[in-house]
Amino acid sequence: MSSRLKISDEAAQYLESQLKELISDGNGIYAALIISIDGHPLVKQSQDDIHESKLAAMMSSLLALGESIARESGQELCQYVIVDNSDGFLVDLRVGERMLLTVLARKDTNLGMLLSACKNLAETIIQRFKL
Amino acid sequence: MSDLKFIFTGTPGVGKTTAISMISEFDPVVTDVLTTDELSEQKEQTTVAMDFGEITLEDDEKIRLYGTPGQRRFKFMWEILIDGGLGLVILIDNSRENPLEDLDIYLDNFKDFILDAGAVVGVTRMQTHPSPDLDQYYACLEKRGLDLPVLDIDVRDKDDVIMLLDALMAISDYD
Amino acid sequence: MEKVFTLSACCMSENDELVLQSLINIIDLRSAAHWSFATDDSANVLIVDIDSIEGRQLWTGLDSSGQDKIAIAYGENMNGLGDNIQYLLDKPLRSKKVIDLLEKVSNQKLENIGAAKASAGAYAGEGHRRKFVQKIQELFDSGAWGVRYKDQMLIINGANREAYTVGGLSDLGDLAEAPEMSMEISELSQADLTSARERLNTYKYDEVVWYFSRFHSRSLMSELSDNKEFKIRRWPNLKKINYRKEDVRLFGMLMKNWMSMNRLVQSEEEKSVIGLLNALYITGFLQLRVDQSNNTQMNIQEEGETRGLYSRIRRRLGIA
Repeated sequence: MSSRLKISDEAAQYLESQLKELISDGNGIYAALIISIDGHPLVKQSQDDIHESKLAAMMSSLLALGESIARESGQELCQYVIVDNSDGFLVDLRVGERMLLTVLARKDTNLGMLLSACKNLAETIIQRFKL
Repeated sequence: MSDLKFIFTGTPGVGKTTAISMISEFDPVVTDVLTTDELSEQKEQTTVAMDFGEITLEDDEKIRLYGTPGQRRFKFMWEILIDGGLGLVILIDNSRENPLEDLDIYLDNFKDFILDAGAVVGVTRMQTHPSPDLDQYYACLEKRGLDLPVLDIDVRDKDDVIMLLDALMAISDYD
Repeated sequence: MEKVFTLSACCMSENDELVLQSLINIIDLRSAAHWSFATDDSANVLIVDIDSIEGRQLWTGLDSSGQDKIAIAYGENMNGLGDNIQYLLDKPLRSKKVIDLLEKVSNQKLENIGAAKASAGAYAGEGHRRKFVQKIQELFDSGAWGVRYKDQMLIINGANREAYTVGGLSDLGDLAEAPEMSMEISELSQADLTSARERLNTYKYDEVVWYFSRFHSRSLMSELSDNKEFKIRRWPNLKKINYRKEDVRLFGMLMKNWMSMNRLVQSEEEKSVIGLLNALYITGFLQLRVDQSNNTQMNIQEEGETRGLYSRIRRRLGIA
């Protein structure tokens, strides 16, 4: 049975607007993507130019590695993978079984609030599409 | 001393994980997720980062076995994984539409590594799909001036996988 | 008198031409005639790709020129080529089909073809090698099969209930004529033989040729002297032969470099090296040249170091 992922136009629009909101909410996020679990970009919103196909593949690998390592170390349910860079943060988290959310944020951001905003969005999406 | 490792690469679904699991001391760590694109018609899951297995030698030295993702968008992982490896196993599924073209992709992408360290080609599913035959694979390699062993194998057969690694050690420059 | 054929690929894709070139050795080996590949006008056997425009034209030209060449039509669309085409090959190119077809061509009477110039450079012992393989091929063609019996491999000829051992074949001075050696198995009735075949692990042609040529008591290569070097560019299909684990290392060495006997026997027993070289020679994989290095001394140091890691890995995998 195929697990092909198709996003309707309506859904895409909804997700785009959610991402837009996330960015404009003043939490330091300047780019956000919804990605398929196997690394295809689905929806993006960004203030800058980003190479979404590359990012999608890499973020998918990153999350999979994070989840794998968590399991191997006996810790359950990876919640986020966070990359803390000198000039920003990258956050990777699952949305249901077949998608993930990636955000890029500036350094002068409160990490706690950042994560919280991401988690809330993920939850909203899950509720909305009954994932 | 750098990472002692062998890398398994090849087309999606060819059996890299299976091959590694034949030899690895522990069940290979996999990073498989649900496929959501055309591949999903053939395969429910796909590797997005790597497979990882290991064997331990008498003196406790570890030899690592890595499997790369098959799909080309994960090419950056191929580069990360191949770095410093002892040799490369290229698995080609002979039941695919154009196996020789598939082989070309891996020969191109790992060109420098192959010249440096060495590789073997393992052709799977030849029982049910005998064409292209081994001579055609060799002709393809010869066109590129490469002398690499091409073996008819079944990844589910432990002896076949060991034979593949043996062949790799036999021609790799380390030896 | 030996028949000499040279093959040329006409108006073909580069890939197809490469495949044909690579098959010529095998065909030469299995045929009683001498086969080689030509890229000039000297060819007396042409395989013409009639799907291409130039190929078609060439074909038509051949037809009317009352020539002394054998032409083989190769393609998907045979329409309009005329009647009575003696040799046809359809696409895609498959090794077995090509080999079978060219063997058929080999059996043609010599008078029909203009003999091409024989190429120089056949090794001494070449004719002997071909006869050896031909003998086995004939047996298999007439329904013989290989079997392991009391630690040996035998070829069983069901038709006359005779069996041939390696000894039986190798002691033949002139292979075509000498009497074959029978074993007790030949005393089995037809029924017993049939049931034996069903019970036993039987071997196919490739495996038998490999085994027989490996254990051939007298080397079929006329000289395995110190001044020869050997190499292979292709490995035999390990699935089709009974290879020993030591062979894999030797194949690897032979693929990487031109190796002299001296260098080879430093890692393996001489007898088994000779056996392997025999087998590679008979099955058409082995390349030979006169030793060019003037250096019969193996780099001992290299051997010492390398035995380390890889032999430990082999031990761990159970193939040391």
